[in-house]
Amino acid sequence: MLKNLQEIMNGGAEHALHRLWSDQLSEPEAAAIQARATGDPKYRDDLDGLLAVFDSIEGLDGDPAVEEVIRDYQRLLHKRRSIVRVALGMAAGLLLAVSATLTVFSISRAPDDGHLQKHFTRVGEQRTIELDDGSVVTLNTAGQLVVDYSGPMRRILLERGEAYFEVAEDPARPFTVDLGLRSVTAVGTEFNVRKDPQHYQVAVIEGAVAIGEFADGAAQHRLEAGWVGEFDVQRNLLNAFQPESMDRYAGWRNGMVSFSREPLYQVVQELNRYTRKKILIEDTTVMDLSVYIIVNIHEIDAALDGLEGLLPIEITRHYDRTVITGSTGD
Amino acid sequence: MNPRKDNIIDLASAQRSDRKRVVQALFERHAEALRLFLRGRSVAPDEIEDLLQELFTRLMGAHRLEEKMADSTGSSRSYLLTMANGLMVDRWRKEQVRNAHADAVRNDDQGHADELSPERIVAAQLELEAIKAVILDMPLNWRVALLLQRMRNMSYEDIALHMGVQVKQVDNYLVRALRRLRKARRKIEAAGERSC
Repeated sequence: MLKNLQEIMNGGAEHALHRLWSDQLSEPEAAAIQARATGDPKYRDDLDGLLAVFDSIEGLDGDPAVEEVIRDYQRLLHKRRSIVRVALGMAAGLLLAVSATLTVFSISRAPDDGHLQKHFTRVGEQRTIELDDGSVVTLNTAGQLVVDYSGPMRRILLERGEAYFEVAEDPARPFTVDLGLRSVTAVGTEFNVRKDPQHYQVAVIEGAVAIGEFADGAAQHRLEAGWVGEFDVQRNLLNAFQPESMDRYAGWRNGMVSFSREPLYQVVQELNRYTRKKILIEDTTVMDLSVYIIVNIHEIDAALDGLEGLLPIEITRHYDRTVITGSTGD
Repeated sequence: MNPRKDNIIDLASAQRSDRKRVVQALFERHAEALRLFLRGRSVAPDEIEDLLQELFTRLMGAHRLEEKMADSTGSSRSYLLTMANGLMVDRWRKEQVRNAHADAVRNDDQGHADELSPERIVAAQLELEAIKAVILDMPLNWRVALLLQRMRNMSYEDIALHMGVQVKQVDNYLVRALRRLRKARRKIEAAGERSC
């Protein structure tokens, strides 16, 4: 920061202009620029002239040669260096597309970029990750996230799945989870984020979070502890509600998922997240049976046995799938 | 999974038409940065508040503001700085025209006050061509950083992400690009003056 100030005081007008357009112009810097511009007519002339030139660059909007530079720079710059980083900054749709490609190529390979860490879990796996600042992230089944601590913000890109965040407090460095269309900024807190293709869900266990509508988080909704926010991607709708219990959103970290009076098809949907051998209901009459059960996600088979004991259903295990039908009643 | 209906607060419908809240939120976040920016550009304190007020009014009426803000390639702050800068330059130009006009009336001179004369337009175009030539002649990294900032309103962090380099390097590229522009400025202005 001191370096910036010195460059403003002693360097050419380009330093002042560079700081003026940065996101982090400080009070002393603004004062120094003003002082220098007032005290030194030549500098003032330089700065004004440079700014005029800088402003007129926008007039090149639509110029083919200029657009080409912007369009093709990725091809022209070092190609290999950072697909991941490009992904972080891009529009949401593109983001999803890029990350989908990445899963194919980079699963189980260490990221080649120093300060971007990529983490993933397989189906049925849960993993706890300790971040450099002391924050802890638990990544649920079939999840994928990228940690970017290189900038002024602590930035997590949740590409897929569900993650529980225990954020170490640092007011100077906001902690933000990017979901593509929305971002969640923690205000010293514990929260759970789940990203399904059509739904993003944020549950606040402790503290509060801000859900941003814009890329950089302007115009935010604040969500307090005990609340769950659900964003419907297709309808672009954000709902908030207070569930009776936060167990669902926090309890999975112990490997336990509890269901209290939920229809069977929803329970099955949920269990299917944790197993490769998918469970299918092939009998519409049992779909809505009410289920009250606690499941160990590492023992889905045992859970199915339990369900069979509790409900009028029959379970048939095939080599590639498990099928639920109504019991024939004997 | 379905929350009970009576617990639902429909945040989205509340926000839909609420432009004022959006603009206020933007101001809360960025007003200080805007003040510093304008101060760095040597705008007098009372004029700064005046400009911010005007900016507020403009944003309230801005076409598809939410979309512009939601474009994740640009940062809302760059957008605001660009707008504030535009307002400032507008005022400054108007003042110049007024002064020139006053001079013209006083000296019974002609021509100076007519800002948009064909000659001026040609001059501006020639200047722009000269600027373009200077930019396209820069090393690739410099011109990419500069153009992403100018044409896409990206913050330095976003440029760094897009280019796959550290923010420090982006700073470096931009300062060099700007220095090149500063040094070429006389040439650029001369290109415009030739037509007059």
